[in-house]
Amino acid sequence: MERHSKLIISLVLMAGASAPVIAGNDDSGLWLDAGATKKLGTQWSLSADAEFRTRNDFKTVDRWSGGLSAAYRVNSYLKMSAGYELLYDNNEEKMSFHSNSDYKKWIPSYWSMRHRFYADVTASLDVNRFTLSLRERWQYSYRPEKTTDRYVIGDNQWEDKTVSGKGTNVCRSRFQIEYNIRKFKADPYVSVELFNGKGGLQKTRYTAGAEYKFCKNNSIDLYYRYQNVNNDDDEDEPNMHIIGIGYEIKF
Amino acid sequence: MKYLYLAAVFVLSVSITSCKNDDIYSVNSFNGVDTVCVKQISIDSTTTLSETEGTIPTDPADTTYDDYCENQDFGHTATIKFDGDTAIVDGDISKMEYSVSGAHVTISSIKKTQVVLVGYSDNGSLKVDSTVEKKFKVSLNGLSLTNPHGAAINCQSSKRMYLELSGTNTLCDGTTYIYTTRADGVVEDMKGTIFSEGKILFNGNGKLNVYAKGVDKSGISSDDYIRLRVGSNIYVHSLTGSGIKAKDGLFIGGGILNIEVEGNGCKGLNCGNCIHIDGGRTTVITYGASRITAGTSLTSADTSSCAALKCDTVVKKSTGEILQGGIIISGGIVNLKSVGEGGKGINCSRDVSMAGGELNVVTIGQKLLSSPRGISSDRNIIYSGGCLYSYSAHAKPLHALMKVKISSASAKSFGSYLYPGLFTLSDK
Repeated sequence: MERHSKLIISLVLMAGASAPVIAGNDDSGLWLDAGATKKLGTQWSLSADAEFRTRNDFKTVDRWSGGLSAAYRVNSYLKMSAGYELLYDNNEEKMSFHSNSDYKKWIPSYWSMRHRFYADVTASLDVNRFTLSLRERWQYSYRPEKTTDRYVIGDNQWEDKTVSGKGTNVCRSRFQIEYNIRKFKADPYVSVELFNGKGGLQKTRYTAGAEYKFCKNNSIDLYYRYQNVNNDDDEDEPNMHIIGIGYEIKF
Repeated sequence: MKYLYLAAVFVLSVSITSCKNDDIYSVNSFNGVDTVCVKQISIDSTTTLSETEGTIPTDPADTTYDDYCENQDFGHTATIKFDGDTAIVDGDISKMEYSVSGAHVTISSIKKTQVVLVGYSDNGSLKVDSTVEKKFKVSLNGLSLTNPHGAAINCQSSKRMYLELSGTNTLCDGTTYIYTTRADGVVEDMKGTIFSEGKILFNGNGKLNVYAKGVDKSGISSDDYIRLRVGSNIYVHSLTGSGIKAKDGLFIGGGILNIEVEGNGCKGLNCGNCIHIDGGRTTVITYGASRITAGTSLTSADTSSCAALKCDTVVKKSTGEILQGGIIISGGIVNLKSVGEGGKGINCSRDVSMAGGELNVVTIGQKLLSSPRGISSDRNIIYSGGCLYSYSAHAKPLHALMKVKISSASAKSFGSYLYPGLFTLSDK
């Protein structure tokens, strides 16, 4: 068992350490998540969580967020949940160009808020020691209007730039396979998640990780994730290598 | 469990490094330069100024009428000649009472008399007792005076002290101060090489060099206000205190003023009320870092970094009145430079206003626990005229908690005041 534990954790850490090296033109970042879940009877549960993300090869803070959600287990195969998240994003700088490729206007990176509401249904099925699950999630994100600074390069002047409010709908489909190792506290898993929104497939996330229950109510989730961006209408996101670490406590 | 610790260390180290901006561009890159031309600010005592003094008020009802010695009657002239370990008082002493101990002279009463100080002593001083109830004038004429145990000129009277400069004069304090306790138990203040409980009003065309070596002592300090006029040429060097410190106001109407302060958290010009500059050439350089250490509260942190010009809101001890001045620059040339970590050009708890003249600010210190901003105000920065140049290598050239107001229609700007680098404003 000790050997399994070392193997899984080492693989995840090695994947994280090598991410900037294999990144090439891709970016890499760290996602940290901590959450708490309170069971209310046998079917209902409430959760709260906070998340921190970095980008720019781990060097720049990308997002802080916090959220609340409620879940209802219909039966052993089906669970439904809904929640709200407050996102505080560090938006990357943006440059616009004249037709002759000269610089036109520049918006330096700035922070802004977003509100996100979501609802999902998860179906799961145990096959021997495997658990197969499919989660279908709808999410609506709203970015309120925000005034920031924009530099007009030809005039050497700063001006106010109002980034208008915007709402986006995305449907996310995640298929996951988890394996329960006999008499072992860590459960490895792999998953693929598709983001469909305006313009079709926006991005795909491939994840490999393990959830380690180090005591009865506490678990740590370590994973490596590759996010492939196809057609994101919101930001010019690059493909990303992500190391994720999550902590969850259940009451 | 060992792997959990490993993971925690990994997370912590990655989080600590996650504080860098990922912007590729900067304002300077659009202007074809990677590094802006940073103005050279240095002490210049020799280049003369061509300026004429404004009208001296002649109406006694004018609030500044009494600040001009031309409006006073000092018909009697006494001379104190310092000579090593002795001092000789000579001339018309009919209107003054004094005592001499070695080369330390104490005036206990004086009326309608100007006292001319000449000569040299490395263990002497002039003290004006709190018993003096009339305005008086002190003329420095080729004086070199050091007091190893306190202020070279120590005025305990709250009356106006007119300080006239002729020739080249040098005043120096000592590293250790010995204080006097009065009969009523009050320990007398001595806050610098030149100290006065009352107003200090400079005039004349001479040169004055002031050196402050005492711990936390200023070069020139007044518990009231200080006025400088056209013609004076003053250099102040302070090791661990302010260059010039004035509780109730600092008015620079002309002349050459050069200040260098060495210590951490020290200020060049430090005022508890208002600083008005409308003439002359003022150059201030601070070399120290901030006094802030990790865990220091933000409030005290703000007052613990160096600043070439510092202006605070304070409560006047005698009346309880809240003095809420600010900094107003309407003429003259003001050159400010801070080189240490967190050192600011201007740090003001009230408005900073510029209506004319030339203001050059350069801060090149690192930003660690304190921000080395060019011009920082807890209220507004208001520009309505003049040439403003502010460069901060590692912080904002201009920072106002309320607003940066540019009210001149003809003002042209260069760069950004929001990001490290150069920002200029000019109506020329």
